[in-house]
Amino acid sequence: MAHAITTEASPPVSTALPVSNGKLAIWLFLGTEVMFFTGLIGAYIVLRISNADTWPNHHDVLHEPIGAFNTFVLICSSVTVVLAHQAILQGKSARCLWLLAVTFLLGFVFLGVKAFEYAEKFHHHLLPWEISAEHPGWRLWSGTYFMMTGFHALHVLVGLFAWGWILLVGATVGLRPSHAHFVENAGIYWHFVDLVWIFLFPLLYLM
Amino acid sequence: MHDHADAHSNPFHVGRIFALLVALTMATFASLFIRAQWASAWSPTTNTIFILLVASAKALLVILFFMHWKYEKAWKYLLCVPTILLAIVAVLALLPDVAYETYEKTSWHGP
Repeated sequence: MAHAITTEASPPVSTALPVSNGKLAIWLFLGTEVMFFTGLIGAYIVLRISNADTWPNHHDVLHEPIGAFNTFVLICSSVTVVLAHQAILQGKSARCLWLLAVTFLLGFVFLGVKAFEYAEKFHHHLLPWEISAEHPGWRLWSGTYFMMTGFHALHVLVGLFAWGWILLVGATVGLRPSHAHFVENAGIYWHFVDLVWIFLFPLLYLM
Repeated sequence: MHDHADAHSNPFHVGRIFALLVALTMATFASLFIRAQWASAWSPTTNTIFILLVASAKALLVILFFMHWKYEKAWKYLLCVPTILLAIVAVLALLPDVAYETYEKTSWHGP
């Protein structure tokens, strides 16, 4: 009986799937993130179609080259993450740190560009509560734009915390091959953030 | 350890990573410039389909190569396919009644 209680109290730590616990956790988390962004993007699509006659032209509210530049920045940051993961697997921790520092910097460039865009919207009073009720499409555009890009920027910020932490560890005690799991899992999260922007860019800036 | 073994067996060379960077960048700027040049000649539907196809192709490249789907075993489908299907169905289900309002409006007359 005592043996049975001990067994129940100590469940096996391995999963039934051929994947580490960390990677399984990050993919399950990304499953919830897919539904989270589906709510935001789905609301945007539905509201836009139902208010097509009053919806603003994207030329009037956003600059396409700025959105394309931010897409390029995030794609470059995804590439540096992949290279950093390869570097740490090969035991090249200095190279990994350098590449993660570039990723960190590119994340800040993305947020900087986004802050510039937000400042422009504030300057032109393109905020939901400042747009007249006579232009319901513009109000809805503003609300959905800030919700989608705001939550996406928050996700970029969370990714930057992860990269900041691993950079701190690398700079103080040094990176070991065991940190490869962290770099890979944080990288999968970072690629997902890139993936969301790949869909936000055409939806907001091109259509 | 399993992940490390998988990662080591990945045929993932620096040249391939930069080829992906070039492909993703070209796709981004293609959707920007081609749309700007030819959009006036296209119908809005054609324009939307073209832009979404380019975005989907870019997303597929990121998922397959950067997120390692190409090198993972079948467990990825168990985790992701139900979520992605639910995400698509959730939006499609809202289109008829909310987006296009194709239902016939009825008023409530009370008891």
